[in-house]
Amino acid sequence: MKLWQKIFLITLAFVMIAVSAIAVLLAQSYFSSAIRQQRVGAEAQHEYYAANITNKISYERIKSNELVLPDDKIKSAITDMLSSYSGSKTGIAVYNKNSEIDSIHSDVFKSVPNFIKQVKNSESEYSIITDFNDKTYLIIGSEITLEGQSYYIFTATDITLVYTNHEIALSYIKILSIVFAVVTALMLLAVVYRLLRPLTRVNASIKRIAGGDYEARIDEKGGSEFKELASNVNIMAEAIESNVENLQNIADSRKRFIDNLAHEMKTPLTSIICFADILQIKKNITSEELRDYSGIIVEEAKRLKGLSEKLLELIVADNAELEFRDINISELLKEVENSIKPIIEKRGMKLNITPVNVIIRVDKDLFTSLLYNLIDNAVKASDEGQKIEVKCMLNDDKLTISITDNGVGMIEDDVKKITEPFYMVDKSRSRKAGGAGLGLSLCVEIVKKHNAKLNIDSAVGVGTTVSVIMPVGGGSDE
Amino acid sequence: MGGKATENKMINILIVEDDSNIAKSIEVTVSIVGYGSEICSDGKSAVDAVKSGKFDLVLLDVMLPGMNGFEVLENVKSSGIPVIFLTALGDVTEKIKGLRLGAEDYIVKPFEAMELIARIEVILRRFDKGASTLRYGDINVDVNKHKVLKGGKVVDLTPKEFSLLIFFIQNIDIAISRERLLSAVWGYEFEGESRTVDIHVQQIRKKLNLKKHLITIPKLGYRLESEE
Repeated sequence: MKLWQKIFLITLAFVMIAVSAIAVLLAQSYFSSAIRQQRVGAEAQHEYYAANITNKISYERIKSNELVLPDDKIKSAITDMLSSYSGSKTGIAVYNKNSEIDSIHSDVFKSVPNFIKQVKNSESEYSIITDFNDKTYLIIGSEITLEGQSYYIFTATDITLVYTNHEIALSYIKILSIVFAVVTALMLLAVVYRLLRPLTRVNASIKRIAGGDYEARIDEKGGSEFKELASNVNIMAEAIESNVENLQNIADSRKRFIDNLAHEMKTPLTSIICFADILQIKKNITSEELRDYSGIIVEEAKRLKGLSEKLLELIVADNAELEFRDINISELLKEVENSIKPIIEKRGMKLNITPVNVIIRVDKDLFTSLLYNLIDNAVKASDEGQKIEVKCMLNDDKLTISITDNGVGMIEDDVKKITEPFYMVDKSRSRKAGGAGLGLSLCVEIVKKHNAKLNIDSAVGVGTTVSVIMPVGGGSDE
Repeated sequence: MGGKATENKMINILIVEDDSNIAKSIEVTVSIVGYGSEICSDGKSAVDAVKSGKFDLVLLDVMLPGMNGFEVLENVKSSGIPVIFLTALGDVTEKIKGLRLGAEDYIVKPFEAMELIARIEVILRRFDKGASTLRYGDINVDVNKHKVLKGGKVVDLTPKEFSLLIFFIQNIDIAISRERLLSAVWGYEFEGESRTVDIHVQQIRKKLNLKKHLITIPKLGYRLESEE
């Protein structure tokens, strides 16, 4: 059963039970007081008749001048009395110990013989309510003493009206209850619907989010609980969205990496396999062709070798346990300068290094590789005879190592993508220079491991400055 | 280079490939079977080259600078020139995309020289651009009528021997492995033994007196040498 149905039915049931109970109790108490009133009236009347009979007997005795009025005179006096009351609707009966003396409207008394016997035996006043001929009567019986003998007088008052009124009241209550129930139900429905409507909205939005629409958000409207719920759901949706986006980005960049790797491996392989096949199947190959084709095979194989070496470096940088040591940056730069010197000299270039005496805490192998790659990139971007500047600057706790070339430079769009694996601004140029497009990706990994930052500034035709900005006195504590 | 003699004009192939070494390897490969070729290293000039109408077939790399292979294909579709894609992407969806755009075939890098030649010949035959009559010395072959004349006399060949002969004449001076012959003549699904190839080659040698020209290359296969 749905929540709104439960709330609706339970509330309706409680309200109806309470209202009906109160109505019934009210009717009941009204009814009881009506009966009590009737009884008081009936008792008064009963006593009035009894007193009248007693007075009549005294009067007859004085009139007849006898000491004790004989039984037959008593009987006739009573008969006289009762006949004078025959106009009243009240039933009256008078008994002596043994039999009935006289009665009017007396049929009802025949239906309660036990009551009459009880009154006769106990000598005190009793009353009973009994149904007779579709009517309800209040019967009162009491003992009176006439001329030293016990007589019993009974009166029966018709109280049917009280009962009929009670029944009418009850049926009114029934009808009113039904009307009230319908009205209450409608109002309740409206209220419950209004109160719970935000829940439907929240539900619908959660369904959309669960269905993969991570951008869906809920209007933060409704009661304070719903506002809170909606805002929590929104927070959850945001977390999911950003996590999914992160995962998607990772998956995308993995896929790009694999696609690019496949491309970078297959391109040299294609030339190698094709030329090797040609050497195998072609007849009459001139020595010039042989040199040419095998030269290409060697060249492309070297390209593959370079690619696999860079890949290996990248994997090592990613997984290696780093060994942080305190090293003077000027020493490191000296080492890098020595190892890159042959390339610089071969291309007739100049490398100008301005070191500072600062101790940095780095993994020596990786950091050397970082500096080497950055300078190597500068060499590749430059033309023969150009100059490369390496400068160190200490600013507060930060050391900036910048490598500046006056080479081809890049447009802004290329600067953004240049750190992506396999991204090459000018493919043919960087291939000629032996690049695989992995150098800067490697640098980014190394920089990350050292809690440092990599900045690239470039302008086409002017040159490029790559800066490594790192905290002094400690690399990463990871 | 040896004479592949046909009565048709020379087949001319446009190679669209940005890697100069791959482009060169393709150029050399197609020259072995006597096709001419030109190289384009980017999409835009490729479109212009195709529209010049000089070419019978285009070998099109997918990853090109500027305009990629799919875009080039869309631009030259109307010219009706058969296009074979060359790509490093082995992705099935890429393959379907290429074929749906109207490419005739799709070759995944890296490929062997012989495979490239075989695929090109299939497409040229489909477009009826291959030779309908072939000549080798005093042997004349009518491809459509399945007829072989040696010195003017009809020589009876079984269908398989006939196909094998055509394959050799089309690939003069190329060493062809038994596996390659099996897949070219008997079909890729044929799980036959290389002995089958040997028996048929012996029959051709005998019937057409080619003992000196159709030579066995140890550990590899056979080669039909050019007439001198």
